Amino acid sequence: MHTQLESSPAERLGRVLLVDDEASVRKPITLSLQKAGYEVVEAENGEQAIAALNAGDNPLMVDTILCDIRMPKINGIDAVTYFRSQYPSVPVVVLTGYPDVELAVTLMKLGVRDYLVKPVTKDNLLRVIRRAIEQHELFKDQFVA
Amino acid sequence: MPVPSVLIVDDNPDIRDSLSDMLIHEGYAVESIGHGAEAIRLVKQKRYGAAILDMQLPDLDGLSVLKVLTELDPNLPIVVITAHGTMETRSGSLTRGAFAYLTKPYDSGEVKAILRRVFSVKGLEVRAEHVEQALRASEARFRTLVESATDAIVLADHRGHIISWNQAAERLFGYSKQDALGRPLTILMPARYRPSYEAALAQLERTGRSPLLGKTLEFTGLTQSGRELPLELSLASWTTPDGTYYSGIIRDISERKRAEDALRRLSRHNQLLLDSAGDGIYGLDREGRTTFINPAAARMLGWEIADLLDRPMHDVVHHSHADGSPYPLETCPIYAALKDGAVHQVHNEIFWRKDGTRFPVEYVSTPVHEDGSLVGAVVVFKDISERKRAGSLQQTQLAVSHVLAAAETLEDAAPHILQAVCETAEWEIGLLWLVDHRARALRCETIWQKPDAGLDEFAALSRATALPPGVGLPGRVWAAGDTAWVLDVVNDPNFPRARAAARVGLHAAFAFPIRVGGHIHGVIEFFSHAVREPDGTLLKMMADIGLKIGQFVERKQAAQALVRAYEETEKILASLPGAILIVDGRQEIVYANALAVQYFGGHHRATLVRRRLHDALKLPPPARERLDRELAAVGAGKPRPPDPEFEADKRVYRYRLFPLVLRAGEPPRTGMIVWDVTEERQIQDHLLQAEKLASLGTMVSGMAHEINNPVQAILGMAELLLEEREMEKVREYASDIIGYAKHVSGVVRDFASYTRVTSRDGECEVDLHERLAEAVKMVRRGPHFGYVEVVTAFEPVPLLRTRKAEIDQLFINLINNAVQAMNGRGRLTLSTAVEQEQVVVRIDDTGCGIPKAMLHKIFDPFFTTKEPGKGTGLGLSIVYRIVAKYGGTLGVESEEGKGTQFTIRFPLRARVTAGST
Repeated sequence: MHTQLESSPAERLGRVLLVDDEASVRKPITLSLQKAGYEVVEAENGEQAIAALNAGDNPLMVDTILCDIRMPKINGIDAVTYFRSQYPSVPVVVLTGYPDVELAVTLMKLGVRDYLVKPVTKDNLLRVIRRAIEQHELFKDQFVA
Repeated sequence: MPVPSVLIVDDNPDIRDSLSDMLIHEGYAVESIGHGAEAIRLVKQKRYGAAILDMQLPDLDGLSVLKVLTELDPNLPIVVITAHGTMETRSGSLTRGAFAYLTKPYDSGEVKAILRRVFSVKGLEVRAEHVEQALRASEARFRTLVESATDAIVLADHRGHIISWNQAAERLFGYSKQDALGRPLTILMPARYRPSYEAALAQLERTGRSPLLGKTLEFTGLTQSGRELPLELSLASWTTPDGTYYSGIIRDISERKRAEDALRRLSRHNQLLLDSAGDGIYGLDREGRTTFINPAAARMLGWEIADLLDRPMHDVVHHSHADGSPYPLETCPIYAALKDGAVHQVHNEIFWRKDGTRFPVEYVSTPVHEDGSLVGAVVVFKDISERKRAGSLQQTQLAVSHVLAAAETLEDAAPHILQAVCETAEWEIGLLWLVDHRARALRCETIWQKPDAGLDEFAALSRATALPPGVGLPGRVWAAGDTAWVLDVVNDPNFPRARAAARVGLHAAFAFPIRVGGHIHGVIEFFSHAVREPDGTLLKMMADIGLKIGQFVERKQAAQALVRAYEETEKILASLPGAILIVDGRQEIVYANALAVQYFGGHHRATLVRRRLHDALKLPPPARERLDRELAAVGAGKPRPPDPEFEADKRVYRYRLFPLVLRAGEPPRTGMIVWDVTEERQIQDHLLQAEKLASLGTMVSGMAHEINNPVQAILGMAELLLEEREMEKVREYASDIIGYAKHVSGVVRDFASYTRVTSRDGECEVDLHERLAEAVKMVRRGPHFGYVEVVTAFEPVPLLRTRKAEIDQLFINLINNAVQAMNGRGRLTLSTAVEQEQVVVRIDDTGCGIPKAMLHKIFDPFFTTKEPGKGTGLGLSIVYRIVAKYGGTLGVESEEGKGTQFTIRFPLRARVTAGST
C-alpha cells in the first residue's frame, strides 16, 4: 500500500475525496487539484462518499476530505460527523456558501481541519489541502509507527 | 130579650141541616159547624144560649171538646148526641158537664123538649142577674163611677165568675161585657197561673181568708187576643146573703212597669258606675264638703268612705302642690266650679293620700244645678301615674330611636342614649360597657350622669374597672345574657363598686345586654339614688332597647362592610391594569372603571355609562362589525381566539370579552377588558422588523449558497482558463463560465424580486397561487427543506387586493413552519378554494403536529416550541396579525404525530382598514 502511494507523483501528493452535489462546483475544483498533482475522488452525495471511502482494502486510501456543507439532499453536518467518527485520522475541510459563525464553531468542535467560504481561489484551496495532507502524513506516520 | 142562639156541632151535614131547619123553625138563631176546633174557637169569641155537640167529630175527641167548652163557658148548656151510646160515654159526658144526652136516632120532639128545658133554666139565671143589676142600678153614682173608671173594675161571684165588667175592663182585656159576664176569671190569666189561682180561690172558699185580700198585687193578665200584659190588682171581697163577692180594680201597668224597669236599671247602672268606676267620683255641697264619694275614690286616696263624708275635700286631698307649696282654696279649680258654675278640667295636678304620699291626677269638676240654682259639684278624677309612666317609657323609646336614627356609630350614639334614658325614666347615671374580647372583660366605654349629680368618683372607678363575666351587675348581665335589676347595689354581695356607690348614694340599678350577631356586644346599666322595686315594664322596654341598639350596631357593621367591599371592589377595578367596560344586551355601557374613563372619556373624563359601546370606543366600521360578531358569540363556549385589537386615537387597544351574569334571571351582560398595548405594539413592531430581518437573513444565507456555488465555479474555471493553452479547453471553460454567470443572474433576479416587494408600500392585486409558489421557492432554498414533497390543489380564486410583501411573509412563515415540523421528510399540501364568499387557503403538513395544550397559545407573540435561538416566536403572531388586518380569519387543526393544517380565510373583497400600520 505504501509503495503504491509512492508509485506516481500524484500519489505522492495525496488523494482528495471531494463531496459536493453541484457538478459545476466539483468540475473546476477537481481540475485545479489534479493539475496541482492530487488524485481526486468525486462524490455527489453521502452514499457515494461512504462507498468511495470503503473501496479497496485500505481505509486510509483518502488523505483528505473536501466537503460542501450545504447540500439539498444531505446534511453536511451529519456527513462531517460521520467522517470524523469513522475516519478520525482523515482531515476534513469544509466548503460553505455563506459565512456563519455558529456553523463554523460547530464544525471546529467536530474537528474539522479547515473551513473554506465560496468562492475560494485556487491558491487558497491548494494551500489548505496541502496543509491538511501534511497533517494527515504526520498522523499517518505516528499511526504506522 | 135576644133570640136564643144555638150552636150545632156535627160532622154530618145532613144532620146539621135538618137540625138547623127544625130549630130555626122553632125561633132559635142557629149556627152549625162540623169540627170541634171551630166550636172551641166560636165559644171563645161569642156566647151561645146552647150547644148541640156530636161526640163523633172528625178532628177532636168529643169528650175533650165538651170539657173545653164547659170550661170556656160554664153557663153554656151542652146537649150531647152520640150514635151509639154506651153507659160509659153517657155518664162520662154527663159528669163532664153535659146538660143532656141524646142517642141517635133521636126524634125532633125530644130535641125540642130538651132545648126548651135549657132555655127555661137559662132564663132563670138571666132573670136573677137582672134582679141584681136592678139592685145595683140604684147606686147610679157608683155604677157610673165604675163604668167611667179609668181602671178596669171586675166583680166576681164566689165561684170566681164575672158578674160585672166595666168599659175600662173591655178596653183592657178586649172582651165585651156580653162576652165577659158569667165567665170565670181564669179567662183573664195565662194558663200557667190558673192552678195557683184556683188553689187560692179554693182556700178562700174554704177559710174565707186570703192573704191577697185588701192588698195591691201585681200579676200578669191575658187579653182576648192572647196578649199578656202586666197588671196591678187591688182585691177586695164582701159577703152578702147571696154569698161572697170579689171586686178587683185592675190597672195596666205596662207603661209604669217599663218606666220602673228603666229606672231600676238606670239606678243600678249608676250605682255600678259609681262603685266600679276606675275613676274616683265625689260630690261636694256648696261649701265644699263631701256629699258622697265612690269606693274607687276612697281607695285611691287611702281613706274609708265614711271618713271623707262631710269633710272639706280640699284640705284633705288637695292642700299642697306637687312641690309641697300650699294650695290656697281660692285658686283651686274644683272650688271654682262651685263659684262660677262652669266646668273645670285639670290634667296635671296631684292629690295627697292619707299616708302623705301623692299621685298625679287629672280631674273634672262639674257644677250641679237644681231648680236653677247651684247646689254643689261632682268631681271625677283619675290616677294618671301609670299613664305618665307609660308616656315616659314611650318617650324613652322614642328618644333612643331618634338617637339611633341619627348616629353613625355606637360610640356616637351611646352618650345620647344614656342621657335619654336617664332623663325620661328618672335615673341618675348610665354607663355603657363593651366586651373586650382579648381581655375577656367588660370595660366601661361611655358614662352619662345628670348635671351636678356628684357621681364623678363612681364614674372614675367604673372607668378603671374591668369586669369578667359574672362579676358585678354588668358581668352578670353579660354571663346570663338577660336583663337584671338590683334593689340596692350597696347591699349586693356581687357588686365590686358597692362602697363607691354607698359613698355617692346610689342604690337601685338595672342593666341590659346589647347583642350583636348572637353575641353579647356590651351592657348598659343605670343607677338611681332611690331604692326602687323592679319594674317589669321598664326592664322589658330596656331589653327591647338593647335589641334595637344591637340591631343598630349590626346594621352599621353590615353597612360598613358593604361600603368597604364596594370601595375595595371599586379600587380593585380602578387599579386593574385594564379598562373594564360592562355592556348590556343593547351594547349600552352600564359600567366603566376609572381606567376606561381615562382611555375613552376624552380630556374631560366624560362618563361612559349609557353610551353606545361603538361610539365610546370610537371604533372604525370594520372593527365594529368584528366586535358585533364577537359580542354575539360571547359565552357560546367556543375556544377563545387570541385577543383582538383595535386602534382609536392613535392608540392600540387589545381587548377580551367575557360573559357576565351578575344576578340569576337578569339578562346577561358582557364584560370587556381593554388593555392599552400601544407601547407593546411598538416594541413588537420593532421585533417584527427584527424578525423580518432575521428571515431575510435566512433567505440571504440561502441566496448566498445559491450564488456562491456558481461564483465558485466561475472563479475556479476562470483560474483554470488563465493557465489553459489548449484552445478547446479554453472554449469549454469559457462556455461553462457563461452558464454559471447566467445561473447567478437568475438567482439574483429571484432574490431581487423578493427584496423589491418588501420595500414597496402600496397594495396591488395579488395572485395567491403565484405567491404560494414563490414562497415554496424561497423556503426550498432555506436550510430545512430536505426531501419534502410539495402537492398543490389550486382552484380558481380571485385576485386579492393586498400588499404583496405581507402575503409573502404570511405564506413563507406558514410554509417554513410546516417544513420545519416535517424535519426534512413529508408532504406539504397547498390548496385554495372559494367557500362561502371567502377565499380559503389551506397549508397542510405531515409533521409532528402541535400538542393540544399548546394549540391556543401558538398565535401569542413570542410563543415558540423551538429551542432557544432557533426562533423568535413571532412568526405566527405576524401571520395572525396580517390575516386579521385583511378582515380574515386564521384557523388551525392539528394532531400530534400526524400533522397540522392552517386555514386562512379572506373575505372576497378584502380591504385594508383605515389607520392600520
